[in-house]
Amino acid sequence: MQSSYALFEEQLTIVCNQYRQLKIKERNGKKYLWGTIDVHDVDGNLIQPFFIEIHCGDKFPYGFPQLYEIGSYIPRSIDWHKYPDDLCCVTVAPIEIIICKNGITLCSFIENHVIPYLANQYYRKEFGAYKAEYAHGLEGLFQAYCDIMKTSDTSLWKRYILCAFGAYKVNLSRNANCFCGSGKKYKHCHMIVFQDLKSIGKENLLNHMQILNIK
Amino acid sequence: MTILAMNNHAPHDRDDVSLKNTLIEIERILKYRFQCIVPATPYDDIFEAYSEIRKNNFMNNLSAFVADAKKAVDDEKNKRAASLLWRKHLGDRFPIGADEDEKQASADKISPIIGNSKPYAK
Repeated sequence: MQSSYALFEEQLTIVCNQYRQLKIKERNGKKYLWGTIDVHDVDGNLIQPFFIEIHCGDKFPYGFPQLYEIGSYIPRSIDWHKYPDDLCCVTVAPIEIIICKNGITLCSFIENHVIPYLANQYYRKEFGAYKAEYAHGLEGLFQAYCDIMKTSDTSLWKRYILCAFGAYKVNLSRNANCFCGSGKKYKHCHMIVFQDLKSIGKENLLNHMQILNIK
Repeated sequence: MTILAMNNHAPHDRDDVSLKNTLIEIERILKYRFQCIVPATPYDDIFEAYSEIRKNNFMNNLSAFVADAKKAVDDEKNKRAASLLWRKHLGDRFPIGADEDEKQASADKISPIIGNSKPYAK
């Protein structure tokens, strides 16, 4: 099985062919992407160029690569979801695990996560607030699980986790209306919730629930 | 500066963006190691003979150039005001831009690009 770095390195040229303003650079024997990502509006007009680096992450392709915004457009502040070393916090851990459950490519990371993240930064600078964000620390982790579980009622979370791992059986056909009352089919609603929880894994879930003090 | 620019050139369709990013990278590299090797034998380091005062002077001027480049590209919406920032460092031969604002993208035209992105920090 290829290492995270070998897979990352293999995809660098493909990315550079697609994003002509990115180059491959090397530091301490490790290659990374360096250059500009342009964010355009829906009409294709350039709204802001961002100077960035993308380095291999430990878990790639089952975790995000590391995005650094090195052009100082985004202030180095947790409030702006950017650490003092320019590392950008694209999303919260359980969401990242779900997104990367089947592995991601560098191109899909840039297209689906880097560009939207940068566009959101532009949005905040121009219009005063993010279109959407998770709060810092525990509150953000809690909000992420509210999104994943589709409810903020933590008394249901444990039951959902048990369902996800087969301890409770949900007696519903895939096409039946979901038990939560959303009006959606089960397969488009909580069946996905259970799959997502399974993707996060028992160990991570236990860890996160412990951090959130949910018993 | 020519050697430094060549070694750290950040390509972009827009020359101002390319210059800004190239300057940022030059500053980053020089902060790490104040060195500029001539790419021909005997591969002299141009900065080797620089005194501490001259080095600080160079780095302070570079830092001011980077700060104005960031302002011109990232913050200044008026083309004339942005060009005046560039002229401080590039000289009077740099053309003055038209006194008009760049078109600002509307929130509606950016929202679909953001999609479901929700940044987080520990």
